[in-house]
Amino acid sequence: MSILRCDVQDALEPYMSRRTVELHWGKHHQDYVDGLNKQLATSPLYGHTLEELIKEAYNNGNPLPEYNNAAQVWNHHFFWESMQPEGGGSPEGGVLQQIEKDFGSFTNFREEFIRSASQLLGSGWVWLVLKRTEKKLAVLHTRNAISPLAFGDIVCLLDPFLKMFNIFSINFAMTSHVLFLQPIISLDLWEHAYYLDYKDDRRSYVTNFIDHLVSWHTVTLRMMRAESFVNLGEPTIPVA
Amino acid sequence: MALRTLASKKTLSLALGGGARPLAAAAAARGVATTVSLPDLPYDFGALEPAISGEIMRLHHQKHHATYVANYNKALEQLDAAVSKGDASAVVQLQGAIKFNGGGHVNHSIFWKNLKPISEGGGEPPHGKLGWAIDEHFGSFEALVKKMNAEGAALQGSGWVWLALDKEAKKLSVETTPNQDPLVTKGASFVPLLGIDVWEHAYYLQVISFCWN
Repeated sequence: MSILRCDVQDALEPYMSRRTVELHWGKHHQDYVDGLNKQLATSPLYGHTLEELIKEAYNNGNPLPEYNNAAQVWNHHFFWESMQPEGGGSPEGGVLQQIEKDFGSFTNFREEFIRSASQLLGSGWVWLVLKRTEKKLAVLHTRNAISPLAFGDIVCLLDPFLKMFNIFSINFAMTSHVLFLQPIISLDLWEHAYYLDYKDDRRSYVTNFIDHLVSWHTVTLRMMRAESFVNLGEPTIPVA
Repeated sequence: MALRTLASKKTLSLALGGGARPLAAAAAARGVATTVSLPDLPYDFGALEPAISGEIMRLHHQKHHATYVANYNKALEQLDAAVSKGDASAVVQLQGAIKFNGGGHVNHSIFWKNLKPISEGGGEPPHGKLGWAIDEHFGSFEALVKKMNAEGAALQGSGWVWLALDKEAKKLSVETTPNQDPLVTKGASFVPLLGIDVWEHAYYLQVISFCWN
């Protein structure tokens, strides 16, 4: 939680005000952290990494009490790091190449991102993700606290059904891995994220995010990491 | 034969005498929903201060509720076109927009009527039959307030908290609905007595002056 010290909370002005950052990070995000810590004090889920905790607590669509706090802690941290002062503009190099390959052009990607945001009804998030098996970038939105990280384990849900109907010949990889997603950018579309600065004008908030706040530097680092998962497979880390 | 005559007389009177626009009347006769309009507030924007600021009331009514009305009407037009063309998949696809925007209109129309300036009795505890029913089902008015506050705070994302009357079971309960889902989506026999909008737009501009808890 040290990435946003008090003295830099106005760094994203004028696109995100000091007041918004102060409340959003100092109160909303902090509340999720405190809430999760309180739950973990007595929870059997204590001991996981945060990403493991999110997958466990999502519980294949029947979320446990810890899920909301865990996912929101992760989502918000990812969100702050998706932005930088004097961000926006357009990406370069490999990231730009991949965007042009998967969306046709940077303009198309930008429009799809804004469109996805406008199609989200209620609270939620907009994401740029890398689909692992398809090796493609995609834009999607999720509701409330749902994170793309949680979808990785939908795999386990399908298995008993396939066995039940003696279906062994289905290309299991096709059905399950389409949901295996590596997040690259996140944008918070809960009203608390923009209401003080933009009131009901959600569209201006999203446009300013994409044009002036998104950190393509962070995106590049995340892409490099995601590419290594895709190209080299998930690492098996021996238990210490 | 007589029935057909009756039907066409009714359609004529709807079109000419009902005061409705001919298009709306024809649509009503066909069974398709007609458009809605933004209801006026029964008080000034600033009349609910200091509990709810004039700025919030103005935005909430003129922007948020007005947008639900506009988008609901647009969705109804599209629905009408899809039904006429027999395009079932388009009809189904529109349901999300109808539920969200129509629900937003229904819920907010109830909400404005639930509120009153303090000078006109707003904020006073309920008396009479409602007061007794609350005592019977929740123990006390304070217990109801505590329960509604707890349910509202626990709601994840956007939604509404309701004091609901179950017409069939003849009892009161506290319910929540997500996003703009109206109370009836929780149960066909539910009647909304009181609804509280817990979308952040309903209070966020005043968050500085509220105790967070």
